[in-house]
Amino acid sequence: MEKLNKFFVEKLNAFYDEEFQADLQRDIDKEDENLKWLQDNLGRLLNEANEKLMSEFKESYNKVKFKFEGLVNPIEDTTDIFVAHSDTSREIRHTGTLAYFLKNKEILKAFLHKFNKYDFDNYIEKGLFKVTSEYCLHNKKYNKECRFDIIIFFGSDKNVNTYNSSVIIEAKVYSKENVYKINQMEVTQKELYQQTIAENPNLFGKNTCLYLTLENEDDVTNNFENIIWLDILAALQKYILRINQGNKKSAYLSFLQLWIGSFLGAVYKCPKEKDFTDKKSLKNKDKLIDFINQLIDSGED
Amino acid sequence: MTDKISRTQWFYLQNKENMDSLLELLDSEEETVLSAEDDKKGNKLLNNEGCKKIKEIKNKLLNDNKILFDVISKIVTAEKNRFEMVTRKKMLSYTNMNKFSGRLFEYWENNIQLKLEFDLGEIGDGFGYAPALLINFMIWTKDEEFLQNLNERLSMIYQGENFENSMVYNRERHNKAVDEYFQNKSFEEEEEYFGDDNLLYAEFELKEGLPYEDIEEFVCKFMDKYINAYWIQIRDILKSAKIC
Repeated sequence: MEKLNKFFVEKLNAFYDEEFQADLQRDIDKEDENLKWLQDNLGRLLNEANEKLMSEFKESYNKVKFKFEGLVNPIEDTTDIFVAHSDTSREIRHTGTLAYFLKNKEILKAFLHKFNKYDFDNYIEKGLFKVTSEYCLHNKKYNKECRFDIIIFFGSDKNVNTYNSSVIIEAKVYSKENVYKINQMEVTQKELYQQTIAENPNLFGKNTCLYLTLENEDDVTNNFENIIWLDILAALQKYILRINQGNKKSAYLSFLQLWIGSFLGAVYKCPKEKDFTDKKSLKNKDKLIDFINQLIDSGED
Repeated sequence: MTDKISRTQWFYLQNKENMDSLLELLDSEEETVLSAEDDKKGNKLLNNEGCKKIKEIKNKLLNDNKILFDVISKIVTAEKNRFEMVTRKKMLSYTNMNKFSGRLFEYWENNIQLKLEFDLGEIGDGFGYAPALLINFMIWTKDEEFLQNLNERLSMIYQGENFENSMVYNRERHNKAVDEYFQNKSFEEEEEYFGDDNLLYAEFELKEGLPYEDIEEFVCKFMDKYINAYWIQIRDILKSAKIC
């Protein structure tokens, strides 16, 4: 630091302003066009793919589920999609479904190709999206009944040569008893994931792009299918409408959020937000929107 | 996709000393120190906004360098059973190369390591003080007799070639470096070891906006002419080495 002087800092600032602000403006200009493409095509792509995939999944799963129930996930672990072991049949079902769906690389390819402009590797290296959900993991007042985790890794996966970037997605639904265990652990789940990533760099890639945790506050019905998906979807879709156009990372994040939201909508046959606005199922909407906003805001610092 | 020396890389190269200080500080998770650091006039050198800017610049630099060094990696590791990219977290910083500016490759034979190092350096002696891609080909062993013998034999191999070839080394400093290397340590800054036992040293002057293709061509030429062409002889020398 002794060598660092004010003159250099001013020089650095000038360089940043000249070089990076111009990029920012170009990104903003392109953002609207890509978002429009997403909105026009994403639902169709997902629904088409989902219909086929869900049918295949059910058929495959029903054939073999007696072998796996309570033991391992019905979806074979691969290096491109890592599926955590699950403890209950319901977790298996949810996790397996999500993993199976996301194994459709044509969908990922379509997204990545369309958004090649955003240079995913670049975003990884920039660390702009190392979003963590400290809010949920560490805030004891959110020690609730259920939790849904989506962890998206963007990294170098040598087995996926088709794309510029590989995508590894882990999704897990925690049941009531497991959430209690997690919250009682000294080491947080996030740290466990980080440790796992550190120990398995070739499997996971080196970067965690998004770590999204949502908790279900409904401790009466404890029913994911009917409650939290609607809230998540509503929150994600709502957030998209509230994007700050001046935010450099908004296009990328909205892509992810729209993707996840539409995915959930497709898989769980959720209605669109406009179809159930003001209904009881949206009681957690504002909280989730706030949460996601906080998630976004904390990502870059 | 970057395919030439970017403005960010060029800025880094032209301000390498200051940039390294900043980037290493960021890497050492001392951001709070950074943002709280005062200059002699009592002003903050960098506030939070400044740190954010540096992070963006850092990540752009890492990204651009990654693309460049991926190009180099494909050339260096092309031959089977030869160099592999070093991925260990801690390793000896032989020169002032760091993760923002360089990449290491190694080859093991007879428990001796050959190391090939590509460094976006600030100083290329052959070009005055111009930024350059520096290539060091070196060896890690404490066997002095072997080193001298190797130097002589390689000198004969490379006689008349246009590169530096010097094996005059400080025994004590070299051995200390080897010990630390094999203990997988990094040098302390004050112990920085400027090796003078390179087997080969080459440099290629960089310019702002220089296409990566030009660098690729130079690296190909270097590898073919100075490494691949003599590979069997180099390997035989290593195989016949007497290990201390």
